[in-house]
Amino acid sequence: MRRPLTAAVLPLLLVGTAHADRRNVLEDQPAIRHKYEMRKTRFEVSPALVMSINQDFRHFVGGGIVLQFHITDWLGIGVQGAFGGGVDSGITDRLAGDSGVLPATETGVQPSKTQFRDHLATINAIVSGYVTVTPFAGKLMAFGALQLRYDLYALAGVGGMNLSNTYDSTKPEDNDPRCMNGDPNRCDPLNSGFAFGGVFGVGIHLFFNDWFGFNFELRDYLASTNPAGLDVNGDRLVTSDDATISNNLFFSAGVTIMFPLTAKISD
Amino acid sequence: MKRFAFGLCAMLAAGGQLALAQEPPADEPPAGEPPAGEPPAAEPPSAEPPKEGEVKTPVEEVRPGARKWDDIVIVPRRYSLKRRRVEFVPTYNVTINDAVVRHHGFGAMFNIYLSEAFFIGLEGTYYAKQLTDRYFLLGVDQRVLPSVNHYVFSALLDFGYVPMHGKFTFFNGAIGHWEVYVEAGVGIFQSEVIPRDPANAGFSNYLVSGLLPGIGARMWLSRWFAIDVYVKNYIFADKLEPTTRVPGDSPDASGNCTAMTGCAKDNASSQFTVDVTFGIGLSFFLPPSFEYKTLR
Repeated sequence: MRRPLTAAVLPLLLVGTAHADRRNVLEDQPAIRHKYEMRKTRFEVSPALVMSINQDFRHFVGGGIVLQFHITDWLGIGVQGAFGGGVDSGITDRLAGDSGVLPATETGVQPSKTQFRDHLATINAIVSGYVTVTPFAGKLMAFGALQLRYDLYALAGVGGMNLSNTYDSTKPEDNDPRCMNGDPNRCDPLNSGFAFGGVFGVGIHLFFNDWFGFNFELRDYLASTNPAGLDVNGDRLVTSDDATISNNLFFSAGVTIMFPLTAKISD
Repeated sequence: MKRFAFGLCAMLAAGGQLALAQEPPADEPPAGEPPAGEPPAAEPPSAEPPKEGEVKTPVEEVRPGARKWDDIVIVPRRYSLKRRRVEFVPTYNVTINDAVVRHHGFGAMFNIYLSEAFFIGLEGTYYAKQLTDRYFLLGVDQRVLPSVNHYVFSALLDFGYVPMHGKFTFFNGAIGHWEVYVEAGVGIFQSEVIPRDPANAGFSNYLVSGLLPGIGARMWLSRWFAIDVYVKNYIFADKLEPTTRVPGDSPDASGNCTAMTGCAKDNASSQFTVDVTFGIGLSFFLPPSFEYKTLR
């Protein structure tokens, strides 16, 4: 009698076991199958228009290029360079423009327009080498009609800015002992050269097809600079101590071309 | 014996259901085919039978090499519907385009969605000022005291449109949804002059202002909660402190100025101002739930 009973109960137990083992077939599967691999093992070239957005006295405007290799879909390495010149900001115009408030000749404590301009640092170039991480990628619909692929990325690396000024340190009047006597307008601004530092940024690609898209970026060059080239710490001298670490933000808008021109499709 | 009988019945019941679930009964006709007894409806004879190669099956019509999304005519439904819902967004923002003064704004937006794309809303912000190092250094190095105004509050009526929405994967894992909105608006700013000489009194200005444009992105964390990030561009004609102040150009208790030049506010210079702010917010949609009324 015990054997038939066991035979009757065993299938019920097996049915129960089968229910317990039931699992979501999508578990551990990739979120997207047959995905267009827009980045993986592809090379990116992105020429762009670059401009600074938070310089106090002279904005940088120039052209640049990004060369980047995407090792995986989410990890890449790249270099970037941009070259251009300075455009006076609103403060500079108000101080040293045609109707600026600074005097035409120095007054002893107040710089002349020329002295003020000669001390200003102009950004001529920015360069960087960095690593990019692309955690977000997807599709978007614009105006219910235009479908684009896009990705959002962050970057971190090292780089710097090439700076120059128009101060002529060979002129005898600019090597005046008054510099040492508390007139910073007579001191060398010491703000030319290469300001080395860290680079951080975020950006977005908007792809119209497999190989062409738009690219917008915001980069922060964290470097020690003295953009006004005058006394900052109040000792009435201009030395390297007057340079302070500052955020130098740059916005770029350009196009992206991916190589090879055809994107692979994932499993 | 009774136990055995119950066990047998249960086994047969369970086994029978499993069998039914696995395969259809043999005597049922397959779906999509007419019953055996019914002859198929007669088709009118075509004038000429199709020649070989003229007829294409759906599979043959698929173009090899075409992009896959070209064939997709149905998109997944929106992650969250907004029509006839209201959105409440506490916000923090900071001005980013003024070298000498920075404003930290604390406020809120209240939007009513007329459709999935259009909304009207109200926004209000209270500002706290922060003078930058440059404000101090302009005085030290250039011996210049700039004219600086402190924003007190702003209130605007906004009109918005949602032109883009999309989704993304996070490292090809979790899927998120987001959308982009653009705004324009009209309203009022209150600014207050920061006097160069603390002995002078400042004065307030109430300024008609415009929001042109505002661009923001909203990332959904649930169907009623999202994170907002935005950049807004406010424009207005601000009134700056005159470069020359004379004794008596501040109003007395009766509101009159004794100076020959009149009140400083009347002599204030007008300055077209572009105020760019970057802000973040938390979107709460009410009611929190909604129903999809169309098919997927």
